[in-house]
Amino acid sequence: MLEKIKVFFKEKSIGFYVALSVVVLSIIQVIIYSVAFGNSLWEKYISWQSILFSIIAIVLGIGLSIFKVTSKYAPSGVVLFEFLAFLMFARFGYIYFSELFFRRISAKLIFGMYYGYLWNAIISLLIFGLGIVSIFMKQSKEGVSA
Amino acid sequence: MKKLLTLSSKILLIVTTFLLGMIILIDVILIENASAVNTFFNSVTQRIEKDESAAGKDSYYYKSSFKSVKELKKNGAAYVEAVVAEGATLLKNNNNVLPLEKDKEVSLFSTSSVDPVLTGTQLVAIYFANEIAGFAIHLLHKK
Repeated sequence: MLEKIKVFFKEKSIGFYVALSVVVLSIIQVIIYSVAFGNSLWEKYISWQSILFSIIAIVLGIGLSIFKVTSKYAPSGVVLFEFLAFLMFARFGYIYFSELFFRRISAKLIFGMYYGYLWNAIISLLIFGLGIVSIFMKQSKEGVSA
Repeated sequence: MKKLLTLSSKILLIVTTFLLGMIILIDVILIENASAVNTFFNSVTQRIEKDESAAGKDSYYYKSSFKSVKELKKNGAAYVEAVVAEGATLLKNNNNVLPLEKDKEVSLFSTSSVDPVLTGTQLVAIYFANEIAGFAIHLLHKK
């Protein structure tokens, strides 16, 4: 079993690890989002759809990466569902941003905003950046079978 | 050539998906805030048509009890004054608690302290009290 896992990772190229980092970031994002908006003060601003889409992205990313035939679709699946999660996050959170940045925008306001919004936005940007890069990268090394 | 085609189709698909998602999101937000958008662009979405057949008829449902706008404003000011007089609380400054020192902890008791809507003036007030004045604000949370 351990040998199989070793072979599995040996066959994978850098693209796989970039896609894997996107999945890890998605897990971190779900945890931060759930903690930040799971309390009674902020629960009315939470988007359960956003969490659901993120979980689908994580499951899809891991599930598709396991098999060599489907591994090339893993980054696309993760990015697509993370994008849907982001749209839901924006759909339920835009009021906060529109009021915070009403008539002025400054670094103090950006870094002073609620950590749930700030970190979700930062991690989303990282996910899209790395995810889109990984779509254009090979998931397995050339000439390696299995 | 095939590689180039695959690459360009991938780029096209990503851009199209992004644009489609953003258009749907913006569309939903704009529909939700249609009145604010119309006000911003100064666009007219409804107008009042004069009905000629109603000429000479008394068409006022809600008649003002004031003779002029000046009288209306005067009455409004008096009303506000009465509301403030009834609603304001005079505090006795026992042990010189007021003005509050910085780093003091403040508890808020009201409907909105139990069920706060953290937008608008309430958010601004809490932000200023917390960040600018340095008070630790306690809100009563629902269990």
